Amino acid sequence: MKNLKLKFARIEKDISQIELAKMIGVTRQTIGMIESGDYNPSLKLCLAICKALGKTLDDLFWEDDENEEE
Amino acid sequence: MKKNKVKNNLDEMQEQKLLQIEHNCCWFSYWALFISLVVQMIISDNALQYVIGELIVFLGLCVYFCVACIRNGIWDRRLKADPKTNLIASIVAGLIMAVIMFIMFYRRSGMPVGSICAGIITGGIVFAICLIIFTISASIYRKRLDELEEEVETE
Repeated sequence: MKNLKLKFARIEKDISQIELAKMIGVTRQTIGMIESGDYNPSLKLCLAICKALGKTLDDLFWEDDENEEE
Repeated sequence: MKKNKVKNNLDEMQEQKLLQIEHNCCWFSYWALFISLVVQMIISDNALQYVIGELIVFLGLCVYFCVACIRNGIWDRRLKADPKTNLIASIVAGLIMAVIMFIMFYRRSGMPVGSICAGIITGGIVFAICLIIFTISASIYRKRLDELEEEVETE
């Protein structure tokens, strides 16, 4: 399940995957995998992403039941 | 929690991938060592002399694995620590050892009846030892699990 909310929030802030990765101390590959839904980040990493993008956990990671089944 | 002094170059996703790779390598080495031990015991005439080093490493690995799992209140992913499962696992271990001993003795002596007897006796002994060890381990595991649950409740 792709995390489009994260992708849109990053684009909204005009931040590249590399820049976001540097801000939170992970690799670009990890950001790419989170956005494509291939990796489930820990709560610690989710919080770091939220802080870097100025969003809440709900904004970026909450999924409605309908979307979760996709 | 203890912190490692050497800086970790990996992020959490890479760390998980590395753990998965190490897990695969560990189990490959474990079973390769086991197969190598069995083959050497069967084909060599003075088996123990040739396999003693590998046997010590293998048994050390097994002891560490069991102790670490029990200390953390872990038994198995699929198997349960109940008498029925312990009995079946002991029978399987006894049968495997009986077959290995039969082949080993038959290859050396060429006497089928004697080899069958050696296989049955060794298999029986291994079955009894495994059953005792499994029963004791399961009892220790249950106690440890209770301790861990109490620790979590009181914290």
